[in-house]
Amino acid sequence: MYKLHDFLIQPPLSEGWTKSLLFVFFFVHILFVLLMLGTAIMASFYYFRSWRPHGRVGTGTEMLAPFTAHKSLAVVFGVGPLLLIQAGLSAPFFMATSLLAPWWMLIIALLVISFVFFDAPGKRFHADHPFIGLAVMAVAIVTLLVVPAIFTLTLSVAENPSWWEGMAQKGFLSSGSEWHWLLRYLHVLGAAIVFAAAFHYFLGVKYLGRKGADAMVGWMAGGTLLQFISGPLLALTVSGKLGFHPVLFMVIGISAAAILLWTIFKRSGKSLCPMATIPLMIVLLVSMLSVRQFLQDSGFSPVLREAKKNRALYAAAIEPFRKEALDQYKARLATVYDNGGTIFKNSCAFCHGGNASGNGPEASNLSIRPEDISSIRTNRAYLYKILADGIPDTSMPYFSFFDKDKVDDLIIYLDRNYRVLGPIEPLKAAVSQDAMKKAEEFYKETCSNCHGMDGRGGKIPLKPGPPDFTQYNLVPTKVFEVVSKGYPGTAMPSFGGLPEDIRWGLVKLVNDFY
Amino acid sequence: MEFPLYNAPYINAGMVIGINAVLHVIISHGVAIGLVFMVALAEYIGLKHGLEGAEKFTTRLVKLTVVIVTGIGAVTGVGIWFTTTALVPTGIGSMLRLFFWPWFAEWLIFVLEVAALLILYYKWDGWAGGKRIYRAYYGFAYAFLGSVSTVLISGILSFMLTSDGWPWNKSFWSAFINPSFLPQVILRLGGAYALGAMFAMASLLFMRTDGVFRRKMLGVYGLILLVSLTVAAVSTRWYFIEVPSAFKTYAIAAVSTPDISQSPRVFWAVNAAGLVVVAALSVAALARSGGLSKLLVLPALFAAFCFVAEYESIREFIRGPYLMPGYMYANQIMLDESEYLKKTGLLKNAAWLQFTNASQDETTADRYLFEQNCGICHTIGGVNDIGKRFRGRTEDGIAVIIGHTNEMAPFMPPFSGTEAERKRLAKYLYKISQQGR
Repeated sequence: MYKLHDFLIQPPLSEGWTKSLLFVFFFVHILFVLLMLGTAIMASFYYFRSWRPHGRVGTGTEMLAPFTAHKSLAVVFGVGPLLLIQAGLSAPFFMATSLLAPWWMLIIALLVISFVFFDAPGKRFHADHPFIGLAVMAVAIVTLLVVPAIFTLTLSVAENPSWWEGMAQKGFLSSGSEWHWLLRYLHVLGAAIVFAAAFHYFLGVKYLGRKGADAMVGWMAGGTLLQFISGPLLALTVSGKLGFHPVLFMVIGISAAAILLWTIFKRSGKSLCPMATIPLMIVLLVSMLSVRQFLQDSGFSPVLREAKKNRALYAAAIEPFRKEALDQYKARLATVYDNGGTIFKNSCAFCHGGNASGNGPEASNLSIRPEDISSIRTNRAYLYKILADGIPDTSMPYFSFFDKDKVDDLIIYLDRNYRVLGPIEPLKAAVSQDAMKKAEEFYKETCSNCHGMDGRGGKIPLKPGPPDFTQYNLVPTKVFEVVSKGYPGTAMPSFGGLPEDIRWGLVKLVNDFY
Repeated sequence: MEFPLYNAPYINAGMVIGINAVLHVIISHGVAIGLVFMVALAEYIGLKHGLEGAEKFTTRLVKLTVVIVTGIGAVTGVGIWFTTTALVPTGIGSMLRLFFWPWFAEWLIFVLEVAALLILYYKWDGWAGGKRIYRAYYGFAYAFLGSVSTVLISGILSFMLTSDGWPWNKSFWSAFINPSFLPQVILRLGGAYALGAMFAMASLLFMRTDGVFRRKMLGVYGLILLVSLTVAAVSTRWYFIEVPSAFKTYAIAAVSTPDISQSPRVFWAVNAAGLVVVAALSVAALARSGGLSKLLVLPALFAAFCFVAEYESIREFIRGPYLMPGYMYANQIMLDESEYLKKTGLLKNAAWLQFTNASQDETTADRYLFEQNCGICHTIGGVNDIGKRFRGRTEDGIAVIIGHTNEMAPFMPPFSGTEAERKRLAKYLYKISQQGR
């Protein structure tokens, strides 16, 4: 299928254990998620319904009292399943989060906003600033409702490898899978209302009152009825994958829901019995999650199998390189950048050569050859500028990612070994006055166009530009070589045609600028 | 394993993860561990000495603390999972495989922490009169559980810098109990209580509180701040002694731009100034000078936030080329895998590219070479812009630099791919470096 291979480090648990623990912890997580969502939906509903510019807002904010617990427990119990699915069922899950990366990260921002805002209105705003309270509550509920949409989307994508290719090319909405996602989302919201309504019905006596309790039963009945619509439609979107087990648990779930509805409608004024209702709802949730689990397994299995097989192949392929890699790592750990020599050896020598003569292993790959450092004569500030900024339009990079102390170390090293900050040695060849005069004329007519009469550079813009001779120069023999042969890769041509004594005259001129 | 990489526009992965993580550290260390401890302490001392005003102070503060810890602290903690999952899936997946059990244990503690905090929150008002001591006990218990979490997480984080013998022996304990583990635990706990003391002082000074109670607690918090600040400072020093010199060497560059790194003295001066402000606050509080403390507490908190951000950035940056030292580079390519890819080619081994059919599109393949090798730290046109980094270099120069990243700039991973791929990437990056010039 694909080349995806599992991580090379082995998973901490067998697949069986991973799935079993995942089921248990996911159950707890989802339970609190449903309570959190349902509480938020109903509380917002009551808040908006009873909101007046100058009035007290009752049930809505009081219902939010357990929200702090619901949301905290939903978050904390979400981490366990996340650890398990990432460690054990890695390939399909990471595939989904990678494809949906920005949405997946958005969850955090949405949750922070929603949680802080839900805590705010009840406590501060609605009494003194009703309009701010309204806005805060609206933002809180809208941001919260987006979160399960992203989670259901992520799980849907993880379970459906056949969507991945299309999603990668054209995005999610082109994969023809919107219906599955939308119905799954609605199914979660429906369940949230049913479970949260039951929670408040059994535990919220204080703030609900008789009328409120009746309303909660209404929410339960309405939510369950909604599930009878969204459930079968959702099943249709996965009809191709329904094997024996999903169907079995679906039947159990639907039966439990039907019994729940029946007890609600048959109660005729009496209270719902918690001893009957709560176990029924647990059966409902377990069967719903079991259907989900079996469908997820059927989506994950081929990917996991393939990834495991590919891991063995890939591990064998890279194994021969391990020793070399570890030896390099060991050497790297032992390298200490407390002297200029180390920096030169690692950062400079591959171009300039170990002896700084400009003949490093990469020198021949560069159109402008690296300079022979031992021929450079310059001052500290100019050299520092070259090292800190690099030389524009050449391959010489900047080294300001080393802090100044280290760049200074490097300068000390270069000066100590190659006398780059030293004076220019005097010219060995004697130049006659006549040759000197001709050289001066030649410089004025030709060289100064680029180098300027003062040696600091001329008017013609060049890439790379000429150096400032007053601050950066080369030893006489090197200048002679450049004049005679040109500077390959730059605009500097060869003047080898000039008589030798005039060329030496030019060398003297150039050196004298320094 | 290689997944379709997502790189956020403009900012790089480290920054997304970092912003969320620093926010989490400030809240989890400073508020969850530190401030809850200080609240419990105020309740305890208030009860013991029969101080008026203690209860009013702690009651107001505990509600606010729970909103912040459960609403922002816990969510940004989970956010570290979410951001790393989305941005460095192979890295976090491999780390999780190695450290599953400490993380799992840390999660169980997290469950207990939340339970303790919720009990504290819902029972607070009910625990009046003779039962007030429970408030203090639950607060202390919560701070203790938080501290245990810190110990577990420190083992994992310190591994990312000092993996010790693990690359060779692959022993879990070698990875977990590594050289920088202990100093980091002490540093984090010292920092947590220092931050907590400062948060508590700020609340004490800016909320309306009883005068006698305020003077008493100011002295207590001042002492705690002085002790924990000293502990944090000493353990920071210890920590950096344990970090291999090869990593430590670019610590200053880690928290500054190339320009600022050229003035290391500024770095030391700014740090010293921050330390002096926090130390001065602790002395002012010890002397029970409300006015001076009020003047210093906000600058000191700001300095403390900067220290947190600075420490976490240095720690994350100086591990440099590695995500798991001795095993995986920061770009999620394993050390041995990198050598393999040099021989066989990155594009040829691409798991993701080939099944999107993107390999047929030239630019996508170029971009793929960039994203896989460099995209974890560099962007095109945003933070750490690769175009800017290479601006002014010749194409052949770029090709040479790409081939020597790890030698030239020791915090960069090496290029993983064949010679032809290296030249291809150089051509692409040269084109990018020419744009907007």
